[in-house]
Amino acid sequence: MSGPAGAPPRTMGLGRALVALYAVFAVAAVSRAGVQIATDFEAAPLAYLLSAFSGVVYVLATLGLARTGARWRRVAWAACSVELVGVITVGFLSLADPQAFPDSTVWSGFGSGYVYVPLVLPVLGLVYLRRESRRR
Amino acid sequence: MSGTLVAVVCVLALVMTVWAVATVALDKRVQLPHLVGLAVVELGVLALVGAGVAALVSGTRPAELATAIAYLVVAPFLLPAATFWTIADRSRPSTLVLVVGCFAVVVVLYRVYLLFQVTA
Repeated sequence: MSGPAGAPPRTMGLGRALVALYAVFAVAAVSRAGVQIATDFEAAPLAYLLSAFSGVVYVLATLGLARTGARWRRVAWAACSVELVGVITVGFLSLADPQAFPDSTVWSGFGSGYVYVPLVLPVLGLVYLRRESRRR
Repeated sequence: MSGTLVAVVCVLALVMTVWAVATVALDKRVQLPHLVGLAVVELGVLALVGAGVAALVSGTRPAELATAIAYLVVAPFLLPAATFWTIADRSRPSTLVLVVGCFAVVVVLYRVYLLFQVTA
């Protein structure tokens, strides 16, 4: 499945910086989830499963943005949207009901443990995808 | 783990971050001097990872052992991955990848330092 005629063969410029940021968060979220689930799963299963889920979303977003072609773009759109909904939902829940999140996830407190990058990242991703689709 | 060494390597990585920002701002490309700078920072990272592994082998046990090991495993790959991802595309904004990578090195090294401060 290739992109429309004239589409760049690979992600370029600003998009690559975005992919790099996503890759950092993919590694951070996946390894965090791995450590949490492997060492102390009983302590906070909900938070740890959420960590794992966010890790998968970041990996999909990274791949979706790094590859080109309509199918990968759909993956990127879906992953960035899920991520935005996730960070906002978990952000509110973690403030409203801290007991449910005794150990933090990447998305707790709107990503405050990661200088709010998790909140900004999906917005940047969606803006980039929109701009790219208009350029074609 | 030596706080001084961590500070030195972090400052080097920060300098590299600023340099990469300047390169994007001035609309220049990544050249050989950048790669030399990146190599210097990477050597510092490898020295710190070596120090961390040596501390683990000689019996230091960070309270969050698994997390500490995960950071030590990931750290050496940050700059090579960022460098590869930058130079694979010659458009100028792709140098921002180096900004992300170098800053990630600063954060990771600082986290490693903190993790090794709290031992079981």
